Amino acid sequence: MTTPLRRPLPVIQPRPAHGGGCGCGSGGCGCGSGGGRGGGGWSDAEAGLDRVRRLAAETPSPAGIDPAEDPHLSGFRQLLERQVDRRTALGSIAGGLLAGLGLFQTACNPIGSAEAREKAVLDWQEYFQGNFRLMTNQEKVDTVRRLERLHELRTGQRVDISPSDARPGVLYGYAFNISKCRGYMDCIRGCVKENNQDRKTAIQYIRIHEHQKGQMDFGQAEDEFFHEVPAAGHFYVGTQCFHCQNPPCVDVCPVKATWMEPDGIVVVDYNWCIGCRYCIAACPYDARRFNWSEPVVPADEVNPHQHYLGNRLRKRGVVEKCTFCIQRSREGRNPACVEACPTGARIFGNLLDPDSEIRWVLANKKVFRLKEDLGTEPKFWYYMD
Amino acid sequence: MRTLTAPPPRASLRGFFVSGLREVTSGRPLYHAWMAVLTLVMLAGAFAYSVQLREGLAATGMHDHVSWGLYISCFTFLVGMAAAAVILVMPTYVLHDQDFKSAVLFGEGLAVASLVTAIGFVVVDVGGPERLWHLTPGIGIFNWPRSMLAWDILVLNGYLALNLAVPFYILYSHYRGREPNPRYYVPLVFLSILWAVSVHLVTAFLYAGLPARPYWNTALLGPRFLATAFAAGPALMIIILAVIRRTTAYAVPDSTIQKLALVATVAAQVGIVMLVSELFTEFYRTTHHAASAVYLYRGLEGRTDLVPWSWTSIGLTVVAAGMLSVHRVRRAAPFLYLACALLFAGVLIEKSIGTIIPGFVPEPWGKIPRYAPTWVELTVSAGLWALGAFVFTVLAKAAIPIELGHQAARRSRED
Amino acid sequence: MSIRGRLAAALLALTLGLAGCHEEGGGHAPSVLGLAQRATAPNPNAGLSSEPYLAGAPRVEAIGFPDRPRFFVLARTAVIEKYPCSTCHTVPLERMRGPAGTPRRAHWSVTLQHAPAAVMSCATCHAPDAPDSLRTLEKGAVGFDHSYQVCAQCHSRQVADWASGAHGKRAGGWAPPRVVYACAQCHDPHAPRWDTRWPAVAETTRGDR
Repeated sequence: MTTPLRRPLPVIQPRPAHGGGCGCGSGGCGCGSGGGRGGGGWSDAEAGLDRVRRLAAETPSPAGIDPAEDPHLSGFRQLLERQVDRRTALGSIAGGLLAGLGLFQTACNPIGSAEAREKAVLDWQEYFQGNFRLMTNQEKVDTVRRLERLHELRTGQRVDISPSDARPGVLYGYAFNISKCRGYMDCIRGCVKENNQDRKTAIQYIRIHEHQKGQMDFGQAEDEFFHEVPAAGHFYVGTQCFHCQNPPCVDVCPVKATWMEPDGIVVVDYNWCIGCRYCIAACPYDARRFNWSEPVVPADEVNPHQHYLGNRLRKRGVVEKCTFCIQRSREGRNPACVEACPTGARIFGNLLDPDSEIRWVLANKKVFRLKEDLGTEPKFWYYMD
Repeated sequence: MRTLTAPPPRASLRGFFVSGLREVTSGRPLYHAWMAVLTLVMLAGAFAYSVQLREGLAATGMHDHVSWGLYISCFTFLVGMAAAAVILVMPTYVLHDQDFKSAVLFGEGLAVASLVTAIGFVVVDVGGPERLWHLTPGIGIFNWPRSMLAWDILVLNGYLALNLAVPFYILYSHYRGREPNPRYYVPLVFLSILWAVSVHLVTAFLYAGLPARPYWNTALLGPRFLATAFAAGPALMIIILAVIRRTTAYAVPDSTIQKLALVATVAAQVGIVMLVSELFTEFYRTTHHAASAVYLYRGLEGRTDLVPWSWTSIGLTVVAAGMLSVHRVRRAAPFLYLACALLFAGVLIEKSIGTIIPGFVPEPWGKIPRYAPTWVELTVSAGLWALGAFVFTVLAKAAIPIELGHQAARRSRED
Repeated sequence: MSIRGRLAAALLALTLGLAGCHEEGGGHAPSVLGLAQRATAPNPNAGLSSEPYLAGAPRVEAIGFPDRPRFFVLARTAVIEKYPCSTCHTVPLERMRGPAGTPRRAHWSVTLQHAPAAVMSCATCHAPDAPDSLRTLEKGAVGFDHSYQVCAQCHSRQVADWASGAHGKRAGGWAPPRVVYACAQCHDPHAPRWDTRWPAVAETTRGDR
């Protein structure tokens, strides 16, 4: 099931074989991989009486050897001896039971095409998936494959969704040159083209504020302008998610659906968000947007290069925001706004690289951040020529 | 007038629920009319909620800049009502003040009804109710202790459990014709007293912990919540007890009503002092941080949408507090009820519209957003309020005969 | 234990429990600037590269910035429509003049609107006898690929910013190699001022909705 759009995934170590999960390895199979654990390994166990006797006769492992790894024990016994924490066990049992239930229900349904059944199974599995940050690499791969397949079943369109992790030694920073912004809004257009926002409510992550020269008060600035830019006697300041190092939105989420990745990007797991909007109340920068209705993106405008935590298609009732174009920045590309800006007003790079542009700006320009007194430590600075 | 007698006690838990069910489903025409009206409103609310489930929260008037509206406003107020039930519990058990004893169970019933409704408001407000299981510790993630919402879920559900457990135990004991053992329920009662304060304090901390919203980010928010809750809760309780006196044989002594009125009076007075403190701090030298208060009390940049509401609320509260502060007025039944109704209305407006909406105005970059609830929001809210009234009526209707029977049995024992 | 004792014990337990709940991020977050400034070692940038996104665009290494890390400028000579100029102009400028008194203007479509006439003329940047290159006061001939050296004569501040990344545009991504647009790719050297234009899209985030 390869597609020409699929980009090579970063190398991730698969979890050592544990007997769980279905053997086919692709997200499209209908077997009960449920939450990704539990499930399939039991199919190896046969109820033959002599096998049971053999198992009963097994001696305990010698001292110092973990029974789960002891090669002298049967695989079945190894599986029994494997230590899991209660959370994993509960999750496995719940996931397996529920997936099995759903599978039973859909498999027993004589009506409906194979595709409809597959979709029902995948919908079921998607509903019961866990929080992305807690998944193993294999679970992450399964999750994104499942979402890709679901999108294909729903729309016939193929996309690739990356589960890539944060790159080590990278902390993203952003700088905005107020002297250079001329209010063109190419950044907004680029962002919307890249990130698959709802077209019906016209969600935009970036706001451009037109200030009169002489005052920085955002309350006095205009954000409803549409005239030739730059207007005489005015300057322009853009705001978006500043990816705070001390993000108040992360603190308040009751289910930890939003968090800061190790590379500094504050992300949202759209499948985990319950839509309580506490994070929107907590954000001092109006960075977050909510899908008040089912988001609609015309098929020919969908950007198929997606990231699970970034620009993949969202659903109704979840929060979204700028992700520093995680699907691009983790591959070494600039975010769409940086690339789109024709005046070079936007700078992006690795704060941990002393040779980066962003570090030079911080060291040599007079920079400031907005609402600094709130202690949010944004990674988005402003400067002037 | 039909005399209410306790149903013949069947020595079982099942009997308790069966006779409760029988009691709840029988009554005078007025009772049935009341329940029918409530049911109709609940059905309308359910229909409106189905519209919301179909269209998403876009069916409400909320948007990215006023992301919490009528639902969370009502939630905030109802949590206060729930907390105020403790004002009956505490004197009865801690101070052994018997004057409150007759009203205790109704206070806890009010707490249960308020909590059920408050939790209902949260459920209708979330964008993904089918994903609420994500909150369950163990199979989901529960961000405790960092998220105040997690704290709120814990304290609200714990408080609900307490307010169900204690009255259940007491009522069931009375039903079985025996005295409840204080060793079982008194520790829980003490816990519920602490819990009641924490319930509303935690809800206040939900808002107060957000530096992004300067209107909420004040140390006075929690205490002000408590003061207004202890004013409006007893006020509603007085009106409810008056209705119970009128419609049932249950006797509520005047001393109970008067002591409740005294609590409401003092709480209203404290609330007014806190309001004055707020107004002074915001308006003596007005800064950008006070923009929300300016919007609420004076209007901001010509936008005066909430100004009539805020001044009405202040007027109602001040007039009510004034009336209640005069002993003779407080003792005269019709004036007392009027003052309680005014106080309830004043606090309702201030706690709901006057707390949540101004928190979002102005939005983080200084613009003044608009908000008006849609018919979906109003109908769902009405349905939930009706649910609360329904729950309370059911609990009271089931409890009263048991209590009457218990009182009668005790009197006959003493004779 | 008495009821009061139990209550006191519960309060104590609650206090101790709450005291222990001071999590990471609950206090002062480390300053990002501090974090950044402490990172002084050369950073491999996770082995990422902008090369795939440069699509093999021809570039030259920028010269004259010894304090800055190596960076590249998109080559102009590869994209100038009619370069080298000597392909067509095979005779020196003097020979291209018409008879005395007949004005004959080279590149008649180009009007110079860059600096006052007392400061700048065509010959300021273009060597009349060597159309294939530009010229500077001190360095003589300079190739079109290194035209920033010409601009730097007057606009030294902007060029210094440009060399470090605070001015101008980057081609490729944030990952190395650092390849930037040349001055002339954004600023038309003959008329560098930008006109006003309409915004690309209308803003829809209404703060006062």
